[in-house]
Amino acid sequence: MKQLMKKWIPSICVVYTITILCTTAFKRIFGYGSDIDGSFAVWVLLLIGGLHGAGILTGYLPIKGKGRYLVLTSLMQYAVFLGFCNVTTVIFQRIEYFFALTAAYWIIWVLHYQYQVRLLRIEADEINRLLERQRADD
Amino acid sequence: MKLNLQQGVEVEETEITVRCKAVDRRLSGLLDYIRQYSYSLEGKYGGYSYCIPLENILYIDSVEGRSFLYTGKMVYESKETLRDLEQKLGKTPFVRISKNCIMNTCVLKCVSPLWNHRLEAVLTSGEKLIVGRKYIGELKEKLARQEGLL
Repeated sequence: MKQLMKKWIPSICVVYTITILCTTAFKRIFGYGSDIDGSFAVWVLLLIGGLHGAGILTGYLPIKGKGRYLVLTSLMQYAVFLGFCNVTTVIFQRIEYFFALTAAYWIIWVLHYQYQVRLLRIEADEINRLLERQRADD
Repeated sequence: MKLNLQQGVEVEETEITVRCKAVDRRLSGLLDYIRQYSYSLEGKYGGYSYCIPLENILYIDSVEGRSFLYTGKMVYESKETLRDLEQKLGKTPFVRISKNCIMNTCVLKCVSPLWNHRLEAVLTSGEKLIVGRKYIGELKEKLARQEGLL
C-alpha cells in the first residue's frame, strides 16, 4: 500500500498529465491525432499509456538508462512511443492500428522482461553457489 | 596448509602471522577476511560514542545523508558518509549493494530474484536487504574474490 501511495499514484498522475499535454499539443499543431474528447477509445489509450509510463517510472518495466538520467530517458522513451503512435494514427486515420501497435509494443516489453528475469535468476544462482562454496570452505 | 595456534596468558596482543611463498587470490581473500577483525567503526548511541568491531556490523544504511550502523540488536549513528565508509571498507568483506546501503558479505545467507529486477539479500539474522541492479556485479565480484576465483 505504501509502495502504491509513494510510487504508482504520483507516477500515474505525472504520466497522465504528460500524455494529455502531448496529445493535445500534437492535435493543435498538426490537426490530427488522438483527441482528448472523452471518448472511450481515448480513455483506454490514456489508461494503457498511464500504466505503461508508471511501470517505467517505478522501475517495474525494464528500461535503459542510469541513475538520475533514468527518469529522463524513461520519459523520452515514452514520448517517442507516444509520438510514433500519433503519427501512425495520422497516417492510417484508424485508431485500431494504434491499439494493434500498443499491443505489439507490450508483447515485446513482456518478452524482454522475461528475458531480463531469466538473466537475473542466473546471477542469483551464481551468487548462491559462491556462498555455498564459502560455507563449505569454512 | 598448516595452522598453528599458540595460546597463553603471557600473550599481550593477539597476533596473526601468515607465512607463505606468494599471496595468491584465495589467500588474499582470507587476508581481507582477517583484516576486518582489526577494524572497528565509531558509532554514536544515546549521546555516547562506541567502537564497534567490524564483524559485528551487519550492514550500513544511509537515511537523509546520515549513516547508521546496524548490528542486529543496536543501531548506531556514524559521523562518516556512506561514500567515505565504502572507501574505508574497500578491502574488507563489505560491499555496496544499493545507493544507500553497504552490506557485510560474511552475514549474507542467500539471494533471490525479485520481479522488479532487483535481488533480495537474506542475512543470517533474518533481515532482508535489496540489492540494486547496478550493484549485482560488484557483489558477485566481491564474493568471487573472497573465494579466490578472481
